[in-house]
Parts: sequence; C-alpha cells; structure tokens
Amino acid sequence: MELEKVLADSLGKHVLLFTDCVPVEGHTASAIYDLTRGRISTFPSEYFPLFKLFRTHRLGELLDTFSEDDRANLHEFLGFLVSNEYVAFVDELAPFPEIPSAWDAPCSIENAIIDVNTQRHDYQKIVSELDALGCMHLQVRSYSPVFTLSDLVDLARLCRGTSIQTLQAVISHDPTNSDDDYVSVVTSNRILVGLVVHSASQDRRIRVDYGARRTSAKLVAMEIEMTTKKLESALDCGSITQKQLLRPSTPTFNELHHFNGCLNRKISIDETGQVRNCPAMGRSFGHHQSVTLSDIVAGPSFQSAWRVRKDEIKVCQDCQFRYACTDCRAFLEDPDSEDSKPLKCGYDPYTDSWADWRERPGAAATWETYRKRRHLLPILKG
Amino acid sequence: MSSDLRPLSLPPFITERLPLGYRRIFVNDDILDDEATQRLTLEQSKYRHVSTYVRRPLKPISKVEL
Repeated sequence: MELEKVLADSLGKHVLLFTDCVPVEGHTASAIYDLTRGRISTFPSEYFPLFKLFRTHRLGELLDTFSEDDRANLHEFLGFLVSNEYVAFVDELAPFPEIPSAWDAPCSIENAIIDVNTQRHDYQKIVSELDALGCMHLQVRSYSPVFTLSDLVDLARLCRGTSIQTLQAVISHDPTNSDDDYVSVVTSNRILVGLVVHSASQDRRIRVDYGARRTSAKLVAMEIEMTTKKLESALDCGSITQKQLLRPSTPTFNELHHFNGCLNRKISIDETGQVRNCPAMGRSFGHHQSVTLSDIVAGPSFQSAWRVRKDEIKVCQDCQFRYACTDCRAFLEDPDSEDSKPLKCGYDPYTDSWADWRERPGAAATWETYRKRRHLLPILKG
Repeated sequence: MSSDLRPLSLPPFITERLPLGYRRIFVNDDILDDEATQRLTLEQSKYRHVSTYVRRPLKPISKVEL
C-alpha cells in the first residue's frame, strides 16, 4: 500500500514504534535498534524528538501543528520508519508497554580470557574454578608457540562436563601442523567454536563441516581463520570498528544499559598468570596459583569495573552506537581520566564518521605511553 | 519395507489402551539384540548441553586486531 494512503487512513491514530525497535539518541546521528531482526538503522538526530511527540499526539494532530516544510520532513521520516517496518498505526499505545530493561545471567562469571606467552598456566585449576563460577565462555589467546595444538586439545578436554559451553582459541601458527591437524582438532572438539591461527604463511580460511553435507553443512560449518598478522600481546586488543559492533539483541542491549559490555562478568588470566579484569588492564588481583577466582570475583573492587557504563563515558555518551559497542577500559584516549573514551575507537559521533583511530591527534603519543608503561597504569582505581 | 518385518500385533495395544499409531512400528527378531532389550542408563555429564547443544557467546570476548 502506498505511504500516502496509509498516512491518510491513519490520521486519527498513534504512531507506534514497535517496542523491540528502540531509538537511541546520538549527537549528530541517532539510531533505531531492531532487537528482533538484529539490525541498526541510523538517521539524523534532528528527527529524534519526534518519538516523544508520537507518544503524546495522534498523527493528524502532529501534521496540523507542523509547518509545510516540517510536514514534508515528517512525511519523509515516516516513510523511512514504515518501509523498515519499525512502526505501526494504532488506536491506543497502552497495550504496547516497553520491554523491561532488566539484565542478569545465570552465572557469576559469563566469560573468561586466558593469555599465554612464554609460560604455561595451571589450566586444570583455572577451569575447575571457572566451573565453580558457572563460566559459560572461555577464550585462550596465545602469543607464541608455547601453547600448542595439543595444549588446546587438553584444554578442550578439561572443559568437557563443566559449565563452559564454548571455547575460542587464538593461537600461533606452527609450521609442523597441517590443515588436517587443525580441522581434526576442531571436528573432534565440538566445544571449540572459534579458532584463529595468527602468524600464518598466508591469509585464508579453512572450512570445517563436521561431515555434514548440503544445507545441514551450512548450519553447522565453521571456518578456521588463518592470518599472516601477528598477535604479540594483550596490547593488540581493544579495537573498536564497525565490524566489532554487536548485532543488537534484547539481552545485550539491556546488559549494556546497566553494565560495561566488555568487563561485565569477565575474569582474565594474563600471560604472566596474574588475575585481572582484562589482561591489558593495570590492576592485578594476585597470581592464579595463589588465589581463588571465586574469592576475587566476590570482591567489590573486582566488580567495580563491571559497572562502568557507556552512558557515563565522555564522547561515548553522545554516540548512537553505545548500546552495541563492547567498549574498552584498558586503553583510553586520556589515560589519566577514568571516563575517557576508548583509544582504539575510530568513530566520531560529532561528525558521524569513521576513521583509523591512529590518525586522531595525539593518538600515536598516547599509544606509545601504553606501550612503554604496559601493566603499570592503574586504569581503574579499585 | 522389508518382507522380513512383521507388523506388531494390535490386540495387546488395544488391551493396554495404547494409541494405535504404534502399529506403524515393525519388528524383526534378527535386529533385536541384548542392547535393544535392556534398559540402558546413559552417562550424562553435569551439564548435558555440553554434549548436545553448542551455543555461541552473544558478544565478542575480546577485540583483537587481526
């Protein structure tokens, strides 16, 4: 049906923005998060006040109060909303309450990172203690060949029968391993849902289909990513690009309203075995062999990092992507300010543009500071 | 359908008031072995979903530059 006719028939009705399509205001551009379809649409922030008017005025009343030019703009914006199926025209708004914004998870720790470089850790103790915390997802990141494919198999075996449901690995390429070796490990360890091999001889992807064929293969297949880039340390983390933005969903949207998208319910073991909120963050809570993870997690100083919300971070609070961005508290644009935006974010909400974060004024000098003072900065004071 | 298979006898089902849809089950004595006639107890891990269903994390655990 043509928009003109839809609008003409709906003059006595309210414009209902579906409750799972949530508007988020930004400085220059604002966004609608479609939590069911998992997509974000952006539009100029000048239109954002309309959502408030939609709740108090019927369409005909709105059009009557607007000037000719404004009516044309409203018409155009409604066309955008209707064509994306973000709105419907209804007699009453009351039957469509907002989706509750509460968030919780059935675990004390939702995900964990283990970094490995020159030394091995007590994986059995770590996994056992993560199990006690109900940890669901584990990622191991290895910067050197110390952590072998065989170690990965052992770690996957340790995770079986525990609360850990998925294991992701970023490991260093070992020329003695063939493609079949990698495929064999992934195929025989279903808990392994992601494998990236860095420092490889060429960029490519190896498909693993678990023996499935045709359409079923599409459903279960995963790809092992081989990359020539080298992962050297936790300093290589914290990158925020368009690709890193979350596909919106109600659980993540609600979580990011109340908690930090990266650190909430996370625990990390850095490459030296120290327990931290994140391997790249300054504060250590002790060596994993001399402490109990559950004791650390129960402490208020460890949990304080979980509650650093995007709404409280400078610049990010003006960004329309703040509920789709998992943030980074390890590397800040201003290392001396706890509420500074992430250093490695390339988006500027004041100009609505993406760029390489390294090209921002001062970014290179700040990064050099982090490189020199690695693990010395008390980014978050407990 | 193999001619070796014989349909289940219906009267026991009618007596037990079981749904007659069960008549679609055919049996063959040759394929019945000890394992098929014994009640099995499956060993399940503490978290069954580990072996039966693999979910994905809803968000990236880290954001490495690769």
